[in-house]
Amino acid sequence: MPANPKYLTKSPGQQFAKISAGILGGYCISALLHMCLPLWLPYATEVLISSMFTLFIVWCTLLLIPFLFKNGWKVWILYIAISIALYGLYYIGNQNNPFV
Amino acid sequence: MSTRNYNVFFNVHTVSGIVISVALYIIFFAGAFAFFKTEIEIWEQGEPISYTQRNEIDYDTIFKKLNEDYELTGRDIQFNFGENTDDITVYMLPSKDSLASEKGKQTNYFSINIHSLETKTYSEKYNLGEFLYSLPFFAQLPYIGIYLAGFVALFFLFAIVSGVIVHWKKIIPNFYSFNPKTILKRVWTDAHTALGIIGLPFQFMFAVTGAYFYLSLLVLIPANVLYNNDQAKLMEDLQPERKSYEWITRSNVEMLSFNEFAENTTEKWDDFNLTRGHIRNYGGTNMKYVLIGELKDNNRFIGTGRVVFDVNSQIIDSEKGPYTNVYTEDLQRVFRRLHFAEFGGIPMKIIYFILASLPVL
Repeated sequence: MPANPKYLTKSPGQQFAKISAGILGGYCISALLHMCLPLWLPYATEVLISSMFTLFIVWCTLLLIPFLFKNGWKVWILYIAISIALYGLYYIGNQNNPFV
Repeated sequence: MSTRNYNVFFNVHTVSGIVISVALYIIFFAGAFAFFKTEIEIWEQGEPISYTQRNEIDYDTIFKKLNEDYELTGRDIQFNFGENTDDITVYMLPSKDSLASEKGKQTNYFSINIHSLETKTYSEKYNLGEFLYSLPFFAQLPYIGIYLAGFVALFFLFAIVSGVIVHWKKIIPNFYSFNPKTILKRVWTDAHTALGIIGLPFQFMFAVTGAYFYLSLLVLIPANVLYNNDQAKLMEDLQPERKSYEWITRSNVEMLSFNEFAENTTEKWDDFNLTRGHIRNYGGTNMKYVLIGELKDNNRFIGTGRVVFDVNSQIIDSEKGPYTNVYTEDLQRVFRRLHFAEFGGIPMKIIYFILASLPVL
């Protein structure tokens, strides 16, 4: 039994917004998060190495979330806002970067 | 879960599953056979192998031969010893010495027979085992193949996660009601959930390690930013055994025999088997021997050890014993072991083969 189409997004624009937000925006957030984690947590190198697999798991989750929203462009706004916040955290944490 | 969300998850599960299905079918089908890569290679070559212990290989003779043919001075050379085969692979970088001839400035990649010293290039050695091994990451498609496989792995992960959400309530009932003898029509729907859940941890592992192998570039981009674009330092932290050293000048000191170094390294720890070797700055004042090995997997799941030896001063630069684990280094080894079934011998490979065939159904 396939999914009931009455619940699915039909407009190509919305579909594009959700998929692109998941892939691009999701990667941005996941990458920025994994840049912040080693800066803010102890054991910087170990945390960085762990990002080799946690990055994909976080990315995968962020790929799924946009489909729960009705409006895909709202997801983009949300993802951009989170990215900016994470970049801010990264910028502050980068003042005493343990790797450089 | 609301009806809307259920239908949305159902649809993304179906769509992502269908989109990657062809590629995934190739990956798992070829990959299942690729677990037996070495066996297939030996079978195809049709020549008996000698089961030489890796520390009993006559490295000095090999180096002498390679030095005559390829001029090793100033090069960084890597050796992969393999496990049982008589062919070890050699990868050499161009010489860093400005006095090196044209011959010494070329990159070379080939395999050399430890007894006959006969060398074979990649294309000369290409065989069914290698074909099956490279098919799961679409090495036949230049440049994009590996990223294509990486994104297939990522969407496979996506399909697994959404699949678990969608089928959550049916997992246990379907598992018990799964019976191929009953109506054939229901077999495939039941099997999808039942077999899916049996293979789930296995498939999750493959989706994650697959993404790690083929999309590691996407992890390295943020890591590189953290290291302020200092790639050499990043790689040194990630893979300390690959550290390269600056070339200074040629040295006239008599080199310690590599055979002796291999023998000494093997004797350091019980049950230690050599797997890889590096020579840095061949014939230079800061020439290093690096030997990497590990314990047999029935002794310890992860037990990698490494010795870096400075040839001119005759002292050991650094050393990591196989009985102490270092998270940063050994995590990557765990991934390799899990992905390529490099543990538990043939029975484990058979289990892997069966589990890898499940999604093909």
